[in-house]
Amino acid sequence: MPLDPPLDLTVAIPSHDDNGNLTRLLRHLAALGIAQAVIVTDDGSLPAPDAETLARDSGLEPARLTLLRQDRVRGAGAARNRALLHVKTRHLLFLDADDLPARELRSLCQALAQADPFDFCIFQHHDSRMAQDRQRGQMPFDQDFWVQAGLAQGSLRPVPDSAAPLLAQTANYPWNKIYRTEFLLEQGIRCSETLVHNDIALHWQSFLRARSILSSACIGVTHFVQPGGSRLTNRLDAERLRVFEPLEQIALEIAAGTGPAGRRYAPAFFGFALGLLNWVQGTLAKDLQEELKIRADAFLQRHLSREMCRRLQQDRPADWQRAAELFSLPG
Amino acid sequence: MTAIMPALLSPGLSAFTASRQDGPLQAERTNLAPGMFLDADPALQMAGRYSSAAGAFLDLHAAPSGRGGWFGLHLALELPPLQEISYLGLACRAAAPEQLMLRPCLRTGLEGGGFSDCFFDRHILAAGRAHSHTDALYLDSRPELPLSAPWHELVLFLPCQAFDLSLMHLHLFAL
Repeated sequence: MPLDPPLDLTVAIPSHDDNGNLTRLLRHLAALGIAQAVIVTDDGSLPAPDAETLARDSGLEPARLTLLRQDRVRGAGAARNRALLHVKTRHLLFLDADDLPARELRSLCQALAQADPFDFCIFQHHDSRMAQDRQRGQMPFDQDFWVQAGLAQGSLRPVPDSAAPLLAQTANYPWNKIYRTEFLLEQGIRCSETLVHNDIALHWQSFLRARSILSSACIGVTHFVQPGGSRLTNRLDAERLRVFEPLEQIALEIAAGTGPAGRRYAPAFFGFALGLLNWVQGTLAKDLQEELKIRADAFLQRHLSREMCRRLQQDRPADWQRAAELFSLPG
Repeated sequence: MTAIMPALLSPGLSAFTASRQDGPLQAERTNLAPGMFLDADPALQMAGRYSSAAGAFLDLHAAPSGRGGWFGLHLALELPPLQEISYLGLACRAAAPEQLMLRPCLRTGLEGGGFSDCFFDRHILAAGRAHSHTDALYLDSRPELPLSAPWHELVLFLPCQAFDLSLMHLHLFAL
């Protein structure tokens, strides 16, 4: 018998040519009884999926499923934005088609249903690469930030202002947060409509604008990573250069902020940006390297104050050193 | 949290353990009780005997004359929907005159045929001094397990060489 969802929650899923995984995900959502509603935004798949087949193959009640369609490929960010406009529930969780929700996500939803109002709750996840070492949980890079924040344990805890910039430096995933829908709508928070790096703005604006953040050590989702596969994270093309669009957007928001939030998040964000640009440089095709350097130099020169440079040298010496080898940093 | 007890998970197990049984091991499949059997690679040319004293689970004397790839004890399981449980576990007590390693796994039938095996984290070691072993699969940590399946079995993979083994008891639980 299907379980009743404990939280008034929509799960929104962008999907592109991935009907097999999508059906598996919908089957899990149906069995675990997590979502009041599911919105799939198909991002130009060929052939286009149909809602009746998805519902039948997954066991999801047809009334719970909404299928939207972008006829041409516009990316997961545009697909999530489109889904957001159709959400009718109080809460929203973005998942990728190849993610799998865990039983612990249902427990978290039960806890959130009784929690005080919050803007979003960030939860832990299992990265499939950890299974190679017979471990379960996040990659060490992410886990270290949770530990530093003092939030690595605990079913549901408020995130203190001092800890939030640490959690903001975890990988910018959209699928590890349960949002209050009105928070996203009122604040005008959206994904960037680029093919890659479309989650940066969603992630950072969420932290910058939230008044109440919760965290949970529940491992709510399994995220599958296939190195060398055809995932967008493995793309090397010129789309990567559009990383400067969300970076610029967040840098300007931090600069314009008169409140404490901007000052609090600035070192975290520019540290993240430095690490990201280093990573992009390492993955980008050779013929695009010069263009990257021109844009990165301009971004870093424009936004890094002398004080911020000192802070980054101190906080992230390895990233600073690497960036100094690749780009022209402010003197 | 509710525990689901062995009699419900493997109906043949309790009745077999409570009864007195013995017989020869067959070259391929030895039926022990409904839903319980030993399955051997035919290449092993399995021979030997099994016995079960009333109140004890299973003694095995395996004497294969060939070389083969598998020999296992299979228990058909009647599991609740996997989304309704968090752990599937086993507890057993074993002894063997020579050290043996047994590997338990949850076998899941797949829609359209075939199966997949999900091994428990720890092997069972049987040695001269009887000792107890408990282990459980935390199902959230096994995302590859389908939430619904046509059938499930617990398979206890046994050595493919000659051995003697006493499984004094075997219990299954779901939480």
